Parts: sequence; C-alpha cells; structure tokens
Amino acid sequence: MPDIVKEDIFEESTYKVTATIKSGLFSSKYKGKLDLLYKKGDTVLHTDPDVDVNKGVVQKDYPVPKVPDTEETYVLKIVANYGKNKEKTRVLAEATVWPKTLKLTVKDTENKPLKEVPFEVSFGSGQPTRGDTDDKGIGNVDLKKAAYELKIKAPWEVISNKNDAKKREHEIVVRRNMEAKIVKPDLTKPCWSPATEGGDTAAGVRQYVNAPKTGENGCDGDGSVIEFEVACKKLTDGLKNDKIYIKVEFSKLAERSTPVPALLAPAQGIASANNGKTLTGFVQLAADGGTAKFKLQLGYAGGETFKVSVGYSKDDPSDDTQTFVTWRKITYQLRFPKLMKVRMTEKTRKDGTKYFDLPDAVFNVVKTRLAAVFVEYENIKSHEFDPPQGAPCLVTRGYLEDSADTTPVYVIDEDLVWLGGAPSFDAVADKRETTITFCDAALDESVKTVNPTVSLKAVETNDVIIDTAVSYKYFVKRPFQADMVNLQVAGYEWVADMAAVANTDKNVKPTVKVEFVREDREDWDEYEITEPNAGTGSVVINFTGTDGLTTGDKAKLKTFYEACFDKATEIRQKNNVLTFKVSGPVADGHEAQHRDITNAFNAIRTASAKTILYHPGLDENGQPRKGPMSDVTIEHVTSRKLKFKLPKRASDTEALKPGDFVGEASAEKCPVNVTYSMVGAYTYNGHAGGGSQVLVLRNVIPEAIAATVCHELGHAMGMSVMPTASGDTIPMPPGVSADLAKHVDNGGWYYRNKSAAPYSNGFRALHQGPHCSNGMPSGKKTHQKFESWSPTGASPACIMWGSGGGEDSRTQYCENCTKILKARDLRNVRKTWAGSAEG
Amino acid sequence: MSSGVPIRAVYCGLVAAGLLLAQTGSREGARKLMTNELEAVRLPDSAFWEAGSQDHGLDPLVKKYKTSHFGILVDGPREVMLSSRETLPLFTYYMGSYRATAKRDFPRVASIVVMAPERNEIHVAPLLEKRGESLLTGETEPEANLPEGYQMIFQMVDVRRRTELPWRAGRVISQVLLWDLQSNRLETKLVAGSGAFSDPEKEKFLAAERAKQDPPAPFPAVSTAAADAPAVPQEIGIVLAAPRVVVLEKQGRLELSGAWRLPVLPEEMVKPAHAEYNKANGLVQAGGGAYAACVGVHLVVQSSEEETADVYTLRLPVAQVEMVDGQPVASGRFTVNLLQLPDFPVGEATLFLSAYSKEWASEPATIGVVDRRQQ
Repeated sequence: MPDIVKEDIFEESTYKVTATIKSGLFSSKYKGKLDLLYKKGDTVLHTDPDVDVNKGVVQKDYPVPKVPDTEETYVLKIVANYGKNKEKTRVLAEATVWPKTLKLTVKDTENKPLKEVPFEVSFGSGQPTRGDTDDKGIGNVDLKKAAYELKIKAPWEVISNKNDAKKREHEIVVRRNMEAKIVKPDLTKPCWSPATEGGDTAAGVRQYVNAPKTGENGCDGDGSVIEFEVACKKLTDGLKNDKIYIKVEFSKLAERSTPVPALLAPAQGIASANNGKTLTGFVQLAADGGTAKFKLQLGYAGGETFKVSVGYSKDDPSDDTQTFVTWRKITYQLRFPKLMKVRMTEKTRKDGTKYFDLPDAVFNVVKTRLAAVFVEYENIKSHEFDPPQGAPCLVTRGYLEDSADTTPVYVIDEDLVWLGGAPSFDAVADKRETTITFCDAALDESVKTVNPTVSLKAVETNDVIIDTAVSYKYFVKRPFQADMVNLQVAGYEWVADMAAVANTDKNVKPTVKVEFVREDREDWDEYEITEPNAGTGSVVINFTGTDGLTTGDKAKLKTFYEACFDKATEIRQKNNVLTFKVSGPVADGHEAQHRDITNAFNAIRTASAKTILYHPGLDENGQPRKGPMSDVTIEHVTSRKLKFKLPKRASDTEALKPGDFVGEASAEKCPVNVTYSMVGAYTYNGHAGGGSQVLVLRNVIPEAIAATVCHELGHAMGMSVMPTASGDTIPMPPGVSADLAKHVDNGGWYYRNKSAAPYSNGFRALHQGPHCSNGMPSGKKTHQKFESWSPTGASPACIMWGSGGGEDSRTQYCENCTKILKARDLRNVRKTWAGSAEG
Repeated sequence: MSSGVPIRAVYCGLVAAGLLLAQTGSREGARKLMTNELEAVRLPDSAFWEAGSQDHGLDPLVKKYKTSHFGILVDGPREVMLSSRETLPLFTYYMGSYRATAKRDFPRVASIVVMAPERNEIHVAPLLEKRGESLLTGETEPEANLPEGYQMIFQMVDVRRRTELPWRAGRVISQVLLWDLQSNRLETKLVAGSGAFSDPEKEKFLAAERAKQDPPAPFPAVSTAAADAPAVPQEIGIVLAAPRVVVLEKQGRLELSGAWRLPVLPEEMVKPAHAEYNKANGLVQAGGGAYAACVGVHLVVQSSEEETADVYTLRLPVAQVEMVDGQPVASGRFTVNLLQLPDFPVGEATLFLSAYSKEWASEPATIGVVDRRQQ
C-alpha cells in the first residue's frame, strides 16, 4: 500500500484529490468507477459517487468545510470505495483542517470595547503576528496551519479570555495594569496641619469646613468642599478616558444632616452605601497624560473623618489615599495696649513676622478645650497701641484695686468709648473672624450715680470711701463719656454741719464789755448807757442820794441788756460781744459807781438765759457757713477713695473758711459736710456679641482666663440654645436631636436669664444670656437662682455656665454642648444667632 | 416662736396720683423721715428721656433733703405715649447714711414691682440687670471704713425692659422694694397716642371676653385662717401678719396670715353655670355650692440671702361678694404655710413679704427664720 498522504490544509480551501488506484495482485491500474467519500471521523461530509477512473488515476476537487466553531481543527479523510461492487476501500488522503482566521474582542471591565489594545499571536517559532484592536475593540488575525498563542500586550492585563463557544473568537476582558494618584490637594504643603496636634499629616490633615472660598492650593479650598485632582501615577501612562475610581469612607459621627457629605460632579457613577458612610464613583482622564477632577462635600460638622482612596481598580481603588478630619477655624484680630505685652506671649507667623498674642499658658488651655469640639482659634492680626497719657482708660493697678501697685493697667467701658487711641480693627470680610479687645478691666454699662455728703472733721481727710458697695469703681473720667470729669461739684456746697454741734456749744452768752466815756451832764451822778451796735436807744441811771444802783436801775439795765438780743446778727457781727458805752463823769471819786455798773452788767449776764446762736461754723446771720465745693481740693486717689482738703482763710481779716473751724463738734469746731456726684460702674470678665469680644486679662490662673475665652467664643458659636424671652430660638444644627436642647425645666441643662418672674420654661434669675448648667447638682435646677450654686475646681461645670471666678471651674464643654458645637455651621460667627434660620 | 404682729394696712385711692405708703417702722435714730414723707421733684414728663436728666432730679433732691432722710424715691413720667416712646424710664433714688445704705446693697438687691391694676397683673424684676461674667458681688465696705455722712444713689431703669412689661394701653403703678423699705408708688398712664386708632367696640368685646373667663383654682389649697390672723380691714386694702422670728424645726410651719377687702374683677367671679370647671378646679365649697369669687393676691417675697424676689399669686376663694358703690367687693382672711409654696426660698434668712392686688398693697411683713431643720 502506498503511504497515505497527510497534510495540513485551511478550511474553506479547495482540496484537490489526486490518487492512483491499482487493483489486483499485479497492481494494475484500476479502471472502473469508484465512490469518493469525504469523512470527518465516521461522518461522511460528502460523497462523489461513481467517479470514473481512467488509467488508474482519479482527480477531484473538494471545497473543505469550515472548522466548526467548537473545534480547534479536524481531520479530513478521503476514502475511495471501488471494485466491481465497490467492495474495496482505500484511504486516499488525510488532511488536518485548520481555521484560517482568529477574532478577538477586547473589552474593559464594564463590558465596553477597547480600541487600540495591542495583541500578539504566535505560532511556535517564527515571527508572531501583532496587531491592535479596532474602534470596536476587535482584532482579526490570519492564522497559520499551526497551533497559536494569543497574548494581550502591556499595559493591559487580561482579566478573562473566553472562547468556549467559538474557539477562534476570543472575548477578552482587560484592565489597565496601572496605579492612580491624587495630584491635588498636595498634603505635603505646609499649609496643611495634622489632624491631631503634633501628629503626622499622613494619618490625617485638618480641613476647615467653615472656610470661605479662598482657593489657597486646596488648603482651605471650598471650605466644606474639597476639589481633588487625580491622574495616573506615571502620568504619561494615563490615557484619555482612563477611569479612576473613588472610594470615600466617612465616619459619620455628628448628627448634622445638611449638607450631606457626598461626592459631587463631575464624578460619575456616584453611589452611597453603608448608610452613607461609603461613597463611590469614578472620573475619567481628560486627555492622554492628563488628569481628572472631582469634588467632595464634607459637610459643616467638626470631627468627621473622610478617608479618600482612588485607583484604577473599581473593586479596590486603593492606589492612593488621603485622610481628612473636619475642623473649623475661627480667627481673631487682637487689640491691646503695649503696656499689656509684658503679660502676653510673642509668637512668629509663617512668614516670619512677630506678633504678641494671648499668653501661651492661656492659649494652650484654650487650644485643648476647643480641640474637643474641633475648633481652632487663630490670631490673624495683633494691633498694638499706646494710650496717650491722661486718657481715662489708663490707670495704675493700685488705682484699680485700691493698693500701692503702680503697674499701669488698661480699663475700657462696655460701649468702647474709652479706647485710648486704640486703632480700628482691619475691615472684616471673613465672617469667621472675631475681634478681641484686651483689657485689665471692663466696665458694665449699668452704671449708678452716687451723690454722697461726707462729714469731714479735719482739714485733710484721706481714704474717703466713695461707695459702700465694693464692686463699684469710680474713675477720674465719667464712664461711657469720652472726656468728662467724673467728680462733679458744680452746684454743690460745703456746709458747716452745725446740726452736729451741741446746743450749749452754739447758743452762747455774749461777752459783755463796759466802756466809760466822759460826758458832762447836768447831774453830777448821772450816766447814760448805750450799746451802739445792738442797743435800742439808751437807758439813764442816777446815783444821786444812793450808795449804789437802785433796784429800779438794775431792772432798767436788764431790760436794756436783753433788748439787745433782738439784734443777734449785729451781736455776731461784733464777734458776740456786747459793748455798753457808759457816758458820764469819769473824775476821781466815781470809781465806785463805775464798779457798780460793771458788776451790774456781769450779774445780769450771769442771771439772764438769753444766748446768741454763735459758732465759727455759723455766719453773721446765724446760718451754717457754706461755700462752693470748688473751694475744696479733692484728690481722686483710687477708684474707691478720695482725699479732701479744706481751705483756710489767708488772713484774719477774711471770712472764715471751712479749714478754720473743721473738727469734732465743739464750741470752736464743727464737722464740714462736702457733697459731690460721681458715676460708678462695676467690672466684668468679658462679653461677646456681633463678632466683637472684650476680654479681661485677669490676674488669675490661666485656666480661668481660658475658660472665659472659650465661654465668650461659645456665645459667638451660638451657645447655648435657650430661646430668648421673646421667643426667638437659637437654631439647632439641622438633624441634631431636639433632646439635646432641653432646658432646666424639661430635663435638660440650658437656662437663660429673664429680668422678671415667672422663672419657668428654662428661664432663671441669674447671669446674662443663654447658658448651660451641666455639672450642677440636678436638685438645684428648680430654684430660680439654682440655690446660689456655683462651680468650683472640684465640682466644675460646663464652659457655658454663666459666670466665672478665679479658679478652674469650667473645664470643658459638656456632652450636649460638645455635640451641638461639633454639628454647628460655623461659617458665620458674627451673626445674631437668636432668630437665625441657619444652625 | 413669737406671736404675730399685725402690720398696719395702707389704703390708697383708686386713681390717686403718687400712691404713697405709710411709714414702715423705726429706721435710724433721730435723722429720719420716711418715704411717705418724701416727694420726688416731679420732673416734667419729657425730662425722663433727656440725656443727663438724672441730674435734674438728683441735684434738687440732694438740696431738698440734704442729709436728713432715709428711704427710696421713685420718679417717672405720668403719661407715656406708646406710639412715640419705647421705654418707660423710672428714676430711682436711694438715700441714707453710709452705714444704713451699706446694709442694703441698692441697686443689687432692690426689685421693681409693677402692677397693671386693670388686669391685676404683677411684673417683678431685679432693679439691676446683672451681667453673666460680672464681678458684681454683695460685698460692702467694712463699717469701720465708711465715712461719716450720707449718700444718695441714683439708678435709672427702663421698666418696660426690666420687667418685660406688655406695651399696651392702661395704668401701671411702679414701686421699688428693698427688703423692708418700700418706695413711693408712681402711677403712669400708658396711652395709645392721639394718632392711634382706638376701637371702642373691640375694647368692649375683649373686656367682655375677659369677664367670661373662669378664675384659676384656689392656691394654695383652701384652709382656715389662723385664729390670730388679722381682722378684715374696714376699708379696701390688704394686711399681712407674721411672727417676727420663726425657729424652723423639722416638720415645722412658716405661716403668713393676712386679711383683705378688695374689689373683684369680672374674671375673678366664679361662673356658677360652669359647674364642671368649678368642681374640677376646687371652686366648690364643702357644702356643695360654688364660691362667689376667687381673688388674686400677689405675694412678693424677698430674702436677705437672695438678690431676686419671688412672686406667688394666691387665689383666695370667697363665699360672697357684696356690692359697694356699684362695684363688687369681697373680703377674707387667710393663713398660708409658706413652706408649701413651690421653691419657696426657705433657709437661714430674713424674709420680707409684701402683698399686691390691683391698686392696693400691704406693708411688708418681716420674718426672721432660724433654720434648725438639719440639726
């Protein structure tokens, strides 16, 4: 038997059958007919019957069928049945039929065709065939009559290669085998702060979600919205429309409901899972080697963590990751006189400039306490100034605190009239900004006027207390007035306090003087008596025939003496002296008569009850001496004390001045009442409102000052959430449970002062404004003044408790205040929260 | 426990201007004149809104009374146009020796009491608005440091703001209390203004509507007056009586008695037709019949240990109402265990209690409490 022809042929080719058929033992050429059978295995694909064989040779063309889709190749056999009865059989040829073409369809993981995906088909040794998929992701390859190997070229990675249904039609799913990276924000820039003080930025950075649009390289970005820019890690590997997948894992700790943290357009395929805690989507590169952007809304709440991951893998986009923790930054401009710098801390800004700020000892406590509510407080500008000498705001600590301390201190009033040349703050455009004016004391606008009348008993009197209430302080200039002397004396008088002098010391008998004047009278023993000042007319007495004054003459003298008292003013004008002029003989021999007259007046004076209202404190008219208070020198020694000095007359010829007769009440002295008017005010620790704060840098422990700083900032941040008496509510952050806003009368801790009873619905009769009593024993809630409870270092209260002392008694925001503050929208701390719609 | 000492009642004319209270007892030796003997300088109404106007009152008062008076004076406008004014200024003057005034920290402790008699409403507030972060304390200078002499303290307050007074037409009577000191009483008419429209029919309707209201339930629970409670006054007015000193033991009582004769507002009349309401609210007598009226008497309580006054409104039921000069008038006596009043400021303190109803007020009753409940 000849060897069977075996060869490789392509499908759909024409197979030319040429065979020589011999028959018999002699191998003669077969003549006759035969049947040609084309068989695939046992299956006869085709039959050419009764083919005439001439000279033993048969020739026939056969169109080779395609290789079935489900088979790699098949074997075609050509069999001849010949002989007389076609009883003989011979395999004439055998061929392996190979497919002619290969088709591959390349798609991405989302079943979308990928064009220009490079591929390679190799057939053992020799040059492989290379190609790229067309626009429909299809590649066609002419095969060789041999086994092949299909490969997808880099950077593509075959995820799957299916040719089960059609062996030469490969459905290939690929992905780009690359990594993505976050181009922006660039967290290596110094503007990014670690999420945790002193921590590593790789573990998380702060995003100030209350920031306005500043566009500062993404540091602040869009406040609560961060814009990301992503690309292929090897930029040039990135191709237009490359998909970079995004995954955001959100802590969702705060209850705030708006704005909802979300991926924003142009991110695509945005989805939310895990109760909103997982956000996914993707972006596509804009060009080969390009980037793509998306935005992430973080919401306004503080303390939320956002882990943002990107990658080429849809299922696990973790090529690059950034973690953000939401903070809120509130800034302040600080204004203070240079004299306070000794108690402040010098700091350096990023640009190298120096400035003075809150003392570190205070600021570090503030920083820690605000960190609990994810608020950062930052000085953006300090304004220093020198109040001019003599400005009402400039006093010594000794003046303020009634001591000998000569340290200069700065005092301002609530209305900021006494600023002493303080510069204006820079115009505030950012509503996150507050202004703080530092001072050593601040005066409340609820002033009181005192109009004392002080009883002085010495020419100089030191340390005269102005007001009985210790809390009130009185300054040289009137508080809340630009330049008005506080101590007013115009219209007031010093007055001798004759009411203090005993009657016996001021109702005194006049001194009697008797003067004898020669006058020749007809009767040698006759005298005429007058009192030129106070006497009315005269009285005549005669010693003729008598040894002395008669009873009748004595009576006449008494009548004349007592009649003088009708002219008390005239007597006082003569210093309470009655001078009786006796006109008559003065020659020798009349001495006895003269003695009788003198003795008679002395006896009359002694016996008479008549007195004159006479005292150095009285004027000629018997009225207490008085004069303008401008006569009195008043020295304003301290804010609580005055020194008085009463004037004395310059010479004896002048009228008496108060210094001439002031003293303990006696016949010679009397107290002097002085009157003046002053306006006092009491001091407070600070206040906040409308974005402006006044803070007293008290001489107490740093924690106590820090508590005041945090307290006033708490008000600026809309705390507490007690409605006003007129019904204006302080908005709660949207989505936050209303249970957190409960007041002292419905199970909570918030309260607000109210000027008048009834003290119900959370209103109480203490402090000023909305506050929080958390920390107080709950049994004291019902009392209108909480039974006068106040926190101590050992029993502290919430920072939003309404008053602060000198110890660390307000150590932190309470749990409720913390939750509300963390959920607060702090984009505007300058607004009036009461009645506001935005929480 | 000492026996109760009735305090003389003060009766004031219904619409008399400058309702003044009688003297409240011995003050400080020879130099004393009581508040009811003092008169403000009566500035013209417009002066109370002028800058520096306090000087117009203060200076003349100082000159007028010099150093011889002790007490509180109030002055203010007699008529206020609601349409053209937004405040109700009250000038308050407190005068006395340094030693006396140091014992009563005016204005920290003083309270404003404002009555709206036509509705029997009371508004009470501290005289001074207190700051949350203030350092204001009740501390006063030691007596040894005080100068000899007298002082007059002036404080201007906006009554409307301080007491949250409804800004509506009507009469209001203002007074300042400082423990056992009471100022004169100043009546002010709040008038709508000539340009404002007044609808008499609407006013009539609202008045009729108020008249239809049921009175609140008796408060505290109805009880028999103590035997030593003061007798019902012959004239319109209120009398309070209390033991001057009370030693408070466990299970003890702190009793205040009073007697009163007062006009009855229509809304204080019990409506017999509202049987269900009356029964539910204790307005039915033991015998089954409804009370005739339930009269409101406001009790203002100041404590020496508190800066702010408390107000309790007693609702005193009466079996009958008589007509006097065409007006319903009722009278009664009562004894209240103050310890049963909610949040009553009990403790080691001296209490000063004054009663108000419509135009009438009592003199203060003073109770020194010795608290031995913890012993």
